[in-house]
Amino acid sequence: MKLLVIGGFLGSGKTTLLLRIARQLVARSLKIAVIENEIGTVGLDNQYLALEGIPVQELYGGCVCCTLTGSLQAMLQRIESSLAPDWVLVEPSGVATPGDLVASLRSGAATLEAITVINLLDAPRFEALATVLEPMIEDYVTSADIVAINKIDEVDEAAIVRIRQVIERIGVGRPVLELCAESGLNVDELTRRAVGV
Amino acid sequence: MTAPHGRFVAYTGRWRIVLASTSDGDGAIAALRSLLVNVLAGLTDAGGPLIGHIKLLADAGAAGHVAMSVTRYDEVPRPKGELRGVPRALDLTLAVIVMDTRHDDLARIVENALPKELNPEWVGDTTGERQ
Repeated sequence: MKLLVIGGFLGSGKTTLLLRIARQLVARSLKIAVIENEIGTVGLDNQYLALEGIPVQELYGGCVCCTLTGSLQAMLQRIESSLAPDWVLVEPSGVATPGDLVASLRSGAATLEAITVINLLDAPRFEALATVLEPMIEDYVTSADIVAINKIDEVDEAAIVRIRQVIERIGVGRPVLELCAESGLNVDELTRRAVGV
Repeated sequence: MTAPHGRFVAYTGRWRIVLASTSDGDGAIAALRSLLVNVLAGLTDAGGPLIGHIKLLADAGAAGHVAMSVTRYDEVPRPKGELRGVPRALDLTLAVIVMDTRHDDLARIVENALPKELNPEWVGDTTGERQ
């Protein structure tokens, strides 16, 4: 069982990207499970994914990077024993710190063949987020296997260059891909790099 | 690093919407778009520096479903999905997460933002929660 974490700040396009990747994996006859985490006690993304034909396991009322770490581990073990999927797609809450999440996953009991982390950066809000939440931007870059700059259709080339400069300054050499999850631009390439299909 | 949950305030609500028999899917989507625009307008006055997200999902069963979200004050809501024909009723879920805003203000903004033509009936199992 392999794990794909799709992280990023609130509203960065995680659910939209997850839906596209999930459909690609299902189309390739891969068995998947999806875990949605929200800090609130009422979920919306789970309902949306279910209406779009993707059943979801829910972890609500806290964050999988801290308060619900144990619940996530238990859920992964249940999924492993009951569903035995090829891939588990995890969407942490939009205030999760993926670095903390990945550290806890690597020390967990579920047998994971691989953990791949895609972290989304929201291009139109990047400068605002970098001002208010600078440590989170750094965490998104350093904890990612692939950094995805999303919503590039909503910004100009200069904005993308500035985002790439910030990523370079953080200096961990992660691969960076520009995409638009909404339209599907470059999502095939992202899936190929992240999942290998 | 500590996740900055403490600076965010969340409000989630669920409503049952019984539509007028003359209201078609496009009219319902327009009213839902107004809801998001109204929440944005309210937050412009009372909200913090950053919107986490404002999301809604309206499920009309066999008539389809529509989702919308905004993350910026200047963003125009773009519906995803469709409501076919003349939907009779919708299950509406609205989720708002904003930074540095009083919870009471957020709850009031959402309640005032609901367009009257939707005749919303509150069915939510939470009236808002502070994170």
